[in-house]
Amino acid sequence: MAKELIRMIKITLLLYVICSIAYTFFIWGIGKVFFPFQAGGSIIYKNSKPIGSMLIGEKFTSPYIFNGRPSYAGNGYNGTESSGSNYAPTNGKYIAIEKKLIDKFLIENPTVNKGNVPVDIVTGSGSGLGPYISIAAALDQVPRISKLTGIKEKTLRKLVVEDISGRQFGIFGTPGLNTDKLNLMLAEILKVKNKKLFKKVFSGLAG
Amino acid sequence: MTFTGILQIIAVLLIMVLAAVPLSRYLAHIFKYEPTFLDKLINPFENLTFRFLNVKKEEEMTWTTYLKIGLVINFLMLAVVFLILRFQNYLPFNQMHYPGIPWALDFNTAISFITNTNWQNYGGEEVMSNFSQMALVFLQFTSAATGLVFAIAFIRGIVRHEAKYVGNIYTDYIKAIYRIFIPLAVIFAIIMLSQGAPQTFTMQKKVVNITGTKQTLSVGPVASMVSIENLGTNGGGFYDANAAQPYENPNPFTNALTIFMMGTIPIALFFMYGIMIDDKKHAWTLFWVASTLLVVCIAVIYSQEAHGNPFLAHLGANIKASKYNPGGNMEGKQEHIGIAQTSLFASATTAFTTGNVDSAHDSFMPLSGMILLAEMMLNLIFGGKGVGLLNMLTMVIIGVFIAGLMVGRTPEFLGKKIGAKEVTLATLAMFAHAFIILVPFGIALSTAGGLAGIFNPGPHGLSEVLYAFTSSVANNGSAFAGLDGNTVFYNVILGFTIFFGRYVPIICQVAIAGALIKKKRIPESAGTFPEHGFLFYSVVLGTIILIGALTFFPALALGPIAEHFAMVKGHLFY
Repeated sequence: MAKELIRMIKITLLLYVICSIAYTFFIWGIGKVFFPFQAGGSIIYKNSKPIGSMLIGEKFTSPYIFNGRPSYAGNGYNGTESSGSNYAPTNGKYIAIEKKLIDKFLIENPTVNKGNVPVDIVTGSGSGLGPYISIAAALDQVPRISKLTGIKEKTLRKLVVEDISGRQFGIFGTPGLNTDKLNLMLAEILKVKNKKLFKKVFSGLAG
Repeated sequence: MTFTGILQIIAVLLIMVLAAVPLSRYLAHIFKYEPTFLDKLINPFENLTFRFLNVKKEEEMTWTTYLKIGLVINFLMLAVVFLILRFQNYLPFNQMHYPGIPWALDFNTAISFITNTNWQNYGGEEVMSNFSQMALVFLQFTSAATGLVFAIAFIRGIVRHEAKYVGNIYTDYIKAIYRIFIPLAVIFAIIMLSQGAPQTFTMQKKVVNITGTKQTLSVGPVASMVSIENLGTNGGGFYDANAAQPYENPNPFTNALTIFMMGTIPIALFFMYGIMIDDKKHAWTLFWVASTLLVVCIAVIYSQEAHGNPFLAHLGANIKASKYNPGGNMEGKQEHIGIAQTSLFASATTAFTTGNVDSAHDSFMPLSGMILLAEMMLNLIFGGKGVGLLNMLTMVIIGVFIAGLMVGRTPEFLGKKIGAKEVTLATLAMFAHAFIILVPFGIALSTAGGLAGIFNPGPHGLSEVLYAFTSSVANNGSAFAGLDGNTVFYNVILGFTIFFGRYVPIICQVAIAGALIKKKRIPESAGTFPEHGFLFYSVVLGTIILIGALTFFPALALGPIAEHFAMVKGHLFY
């Protein structure tokens, strides 16, 4: 029996070393050599400062830019506290919050009719960190952004259309727009168009 | 529902079945100890391991020895991980100086991972050091192997006759890990890594976003965990939001890949079973039983989610899908992944008892929630590593018993007479599953500690508690995550339900194998009930639906069904 117990302890420790330590380090090594950018979290740099990851949504609430979906990750887009709202569809408190969000979107974007608010822009993503919004949600914000920034609607519309992430391999997923990328492109345009406003809105890029 | 949505679902399912066929052949070779194409690479490591363990590969064990050793190894592994988590503050890779995991949460977590459940009462990025996450990965390998080897022992119990031994557990265990889980985990970890899953020993990175907002990003050895968590149908993710966190599931392709990782091995195990017992027709019939259930579940969830929340439509949101607007119920879903893939993912994660989520299940429509519950209550729609097949075969034994009663013949299963002992054990396994879900569920609903955790009001709150017990006993691990499970009450009670939910059925099932292996094989005769074809399909499917519905319908009626009808009537809960 003692012999059997030693064998059982040996297999436990051996598999621990292989499956936990060796395996993780092996994949880490592969990352180091072949995918250093992804392994580090796909973080991109502007002016040699880290500005975030295109995979993780950022908190965009300023009316001058494309706003993202509501987020329940911490106080909104907190990269260390991923979470959805977990509200049930029949929760009265949830429906009250939704009423506020929908009304707010309608007031901020007066060109949108009631009944036509894209459902994604007023609901939270599963992690509160998804950067994507639907094409409708992006297009609906164009008139507002144009009015506030002075950039032509046509230019903004073109920006949206060019920036659509389509279905992968033509089949997987739903087309949408990555707000991280979209606003980065918007910043480029605004930088040329209105330097002062650019510095105010995109203070992270101005410094 | 859209055409492309349906196409996506069919494409992923089809690819899984197509990949499962060759995989099943490989699996059968491994457990029949036949040569495979990886021998040259793996044999040296394997032989070295057997020498280190002082195991004679071909020395076989009785079912009791096999079971005992398996359970003790499980206990030892649980102890190792319990200690690592408890004392993570003294261990490396803890840049954020997270304290040791409190005992109740640690108890829950260690049991949860050794049993392939991966119920998580914590947010990984908020409490676990990278070293602790890596320790959980260890259990993700071994718990998958545990389920698998017990299924293999069961199959040998069917195949062999007038015999005593079911195999050598060390040999099966090492082969499962070295030849299946490690090679696949490495391949898929690299794919996930290339798509954007981080793999670093840093825990957090600080950035300043383009609008000047400060943001901290949680990173770590994510890629290595994502692959095995799905391949092993574990489901415990690195992050609180699991695969809804973009680092765990960066894009729609990885979403489809994750579903593929979850489902292919469980499907292949059905085919492997067919090869090992030399009756492929029988295995294919069982495949069709499970597939029928899976397709129905996916269809209900997808139609419900695509239809969306009528309350939001009333407020002015557009829930109809169009070229530019996803429509449907988007609360808790990732926009780019979309309704179709999310519905498939949710159905897959509960069918294959993975428990990884790419969306907030708590925010699903009531009837979708009911289907998710039902999938875990049945626990045999392909199911988790090994145990899904075991549960299906248990149901088959009950099915042939009922069929035998109807025609007045002694029931037979694959050439062996089914006696009182086998039927008793099968019934016990099935009954234990329901009992361990429903009794603690009742206890939770009648105690302050149980009610305190509820997040959503009305019948949905009841569904949250029901989901917790169903998920834990089915060793699934997904949650209606509004429920605050990180209390001493839930940590302890769920720890126990997970434990008994895993081991009681397994012990019964391996005991069935022990009883079957001693029996004589009786030749087929004109009166033998065919174990393939439409009649057999109907008997098994009918048994599953009848027993499942009779057991769980009352609980479902009080939760999701009540919520659905309230919603239709325009009633909200406060």
